[in-house]
Amino acid sequence: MVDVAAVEETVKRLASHKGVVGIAIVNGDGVPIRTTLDPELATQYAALVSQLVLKARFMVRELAADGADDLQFLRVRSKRHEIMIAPGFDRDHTYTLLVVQEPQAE
Amino acid sequence: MPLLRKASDGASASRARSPAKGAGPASPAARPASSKGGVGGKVGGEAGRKAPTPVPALAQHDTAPAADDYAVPIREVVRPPGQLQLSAAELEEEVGRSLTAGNPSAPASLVRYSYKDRAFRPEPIIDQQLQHFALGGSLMHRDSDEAARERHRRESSALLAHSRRVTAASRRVTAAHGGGEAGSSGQVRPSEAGGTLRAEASVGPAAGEGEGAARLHNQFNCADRGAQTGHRRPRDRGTMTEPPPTTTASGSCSRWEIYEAYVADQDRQRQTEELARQKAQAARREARSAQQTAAVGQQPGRAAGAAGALALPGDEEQDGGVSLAPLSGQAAKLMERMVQQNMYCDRVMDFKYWDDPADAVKPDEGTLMPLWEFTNERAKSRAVTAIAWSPRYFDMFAVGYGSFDFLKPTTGLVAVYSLKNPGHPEFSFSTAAGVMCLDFHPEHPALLAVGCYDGHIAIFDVRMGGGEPLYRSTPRSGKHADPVWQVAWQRTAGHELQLASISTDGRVTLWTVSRNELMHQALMELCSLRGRDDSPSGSTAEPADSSRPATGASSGSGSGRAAGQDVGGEAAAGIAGGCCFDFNRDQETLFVVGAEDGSLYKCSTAYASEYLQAYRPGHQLPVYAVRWNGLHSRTFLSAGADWKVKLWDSLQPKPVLSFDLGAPVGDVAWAPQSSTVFAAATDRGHVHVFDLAHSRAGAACVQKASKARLTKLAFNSRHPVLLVGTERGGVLCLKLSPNLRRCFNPGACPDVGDSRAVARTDSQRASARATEAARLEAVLAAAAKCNAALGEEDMALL
Repeated sequence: MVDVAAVEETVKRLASHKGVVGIAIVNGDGVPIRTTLDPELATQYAALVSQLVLKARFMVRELAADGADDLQFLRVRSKRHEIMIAPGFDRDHTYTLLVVQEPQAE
Repeated sequence: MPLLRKASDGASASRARSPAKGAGPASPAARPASSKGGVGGKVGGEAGRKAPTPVPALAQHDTAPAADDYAVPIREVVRPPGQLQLSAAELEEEVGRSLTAGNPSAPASLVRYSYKDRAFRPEPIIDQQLQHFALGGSLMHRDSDEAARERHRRESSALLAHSRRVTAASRRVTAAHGGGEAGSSGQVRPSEAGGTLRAEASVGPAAGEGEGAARLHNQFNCADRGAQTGHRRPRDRGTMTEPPPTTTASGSCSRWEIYEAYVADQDRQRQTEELARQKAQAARREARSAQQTAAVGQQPGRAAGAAGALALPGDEEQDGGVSLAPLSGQAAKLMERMVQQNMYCDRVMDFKYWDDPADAVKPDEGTLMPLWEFTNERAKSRAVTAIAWSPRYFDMFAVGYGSFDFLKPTTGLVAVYSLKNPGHPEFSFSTAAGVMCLDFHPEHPALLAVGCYDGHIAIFDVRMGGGEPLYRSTPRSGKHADPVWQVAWQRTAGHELQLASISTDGRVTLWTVSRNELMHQALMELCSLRGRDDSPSGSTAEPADSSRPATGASSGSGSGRAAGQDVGGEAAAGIAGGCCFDFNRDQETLFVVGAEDGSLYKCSTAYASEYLQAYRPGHQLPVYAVRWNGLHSRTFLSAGADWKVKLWDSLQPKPVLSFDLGAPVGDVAWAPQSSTVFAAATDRGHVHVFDLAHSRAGAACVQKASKARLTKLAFNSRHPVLLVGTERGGVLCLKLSPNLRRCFNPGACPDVGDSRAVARTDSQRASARATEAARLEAVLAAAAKCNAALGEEDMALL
């Protein structure tokens, strides 16, 4: 049982951190459910990231000999931003938490 | 006859009198009487006007022919012309003429039809009376009944007037007014008589008498007086509200209706699911096309716009917390750590890699590099009272918040932080009273023992992340009477969990965790030895300590007892308040106690009543911390409010080394990786780091860490960092520069449970410990040699 209030609070805190450009929570279909980003941008991020996550997860699971490994976290560092992706795979839900941060924010 | 005249007089008199009465000072009771008199007067007046009418008629008859005055009336016989001429005889003849009382216009013979006889019968008696003139008068005959009644009435009214006078006199009316009334009383009477006359005519004698009696009653009761006081007008205020709308709803439901509704709902759900699936597919397709366009190098804006045109499935408000439920807390926590890592990227790098290049130039000095500062909104107004590193995770530690100030008690807070997330605690627990000490269980790292300012002991399970403690001491189960200054888990052979606690109430208590409660058992009753021998420092008065008034509060009683002891000269002990203790790593029954009178005692759990050794005078003010060296089982450090940090060989009664830090020392701690390095935190905000292997004279590093007072200090067992707690609720992480960790021997300290740590064999660890112990032994030997050269006086200064 996940404490919804705690998760909610953590997400709020995440959004308030310095340098965080935006947050998006993406469901298994690649649709942003909640976002602090611009809706269009969030849709774009969500659609692209969900594919990347599927690919990466596939790779990780293929590499693991017994297939018990799974993707935990994915960081994509670009010149300007860092996209951090925390996929959460449940039995029947796949939600992905996506944070875009500017690391050198002063 | 006199009755009538007087009645009319009375009417006028009462009329003249009534306004005078009305204007009188205070005679409300007289007002209705006078008004009644007025009415009576009016009636009497009417009667008077009627009465005189016949009198002027007679007078006119007398005075009309007196036109020629003073003349003798001449008799003239005037005969009408047609008069009969009668002779004397005829004149003399008597003509009988009779006057009968008969009515000429009355019918002579009157017949009436008699139904009885069925025939007309003559009326035997014909009324012959004719009334020519009728005059109503107000006169009455003296002997008649009416006159008798009137006489009786007048007597009663005279009585009434008399009684009224008596009342007036009793009211102390002015003499003039009283006299006026007395004079007019004769006139009042007739007016009343007139009034009663009429009442009598209409009602009758009985009613008249009743009225008189009622008046008497009214006069004495003075019930009319209330008329003049202002009385509240009754007011009603009401509002009308619209009645709440009511509707009547009724319906009937049958089984087939329910069934149909369910079927319809299922259909609807299926449709929405399908719709969502289509939408998702469309979004995926759009995304793919956008990717393709981006790859081809065309303008991606349009595709992105198309993707953005897809409406978000829900508003932020609509599926607020519900949609987050499946998102695991782990992911969010991980993400927060990553964000923090990016934010404090430089500090993370410093933590891992930065070494002060100045150390190479100045071989005797080291520095402390400040890394993170752990703050907590909820801990802003509280002091850090305890810091404990987790025995399993090298990056995790618990901080206890409370207050050392007796006058400003706060509620307690325990926050468990990770170095990976300085912004927010991983877990936090709150307690009713301020937290004073913390200890993680070495083998069950989730168990955190907490000692509180109100003397309670609580055991939390850190994994539960808040809420109530697993166990809590109760007043019935031997709770401490004073703040609990230190708790320590015991290493036990079996499965049972035990912890020891020390408090200024003089008890060292062993707590055993049973199935559902904490069982307590006294380990030791601390007795003050002060006064048993008269050592010079022992008899010095203990100055009041302002920085820790809790100890001050109980030290008052402690010193009082000590004084009583001095007088008695007995060895019987007062209570010595314990401030801190520490258990030896090698001999688990051995522990050293620092008392608030400055003494240090070496005790054993095996002997509850005797000290193995007393180190006196240990300090001159309360001892704030004692620490056994982890690698050398004979030495321990003590720090106190008398600005001193002392190094003791537990077999020697005198300190081996003593350092004066220039401010009360809040805490002292050995570095776990080295036997010769320790650090102390002072009230001035300085951190002193000593390396005895390189210098026995002074600190290798003195650095101001904070403007606030430093309260607690703790070394990490794996990394060269230490945590310092301040009085304002801040926790600083400081990194030791290379010069301060020259003697660090990573193999010496026990492993923190971590899979990446190099597994060391027992023999390796034993050899590392042996080298460390040998190093400190050498320091001790050298110091002992120096001390032997010192004189007695110098030793006392130590």
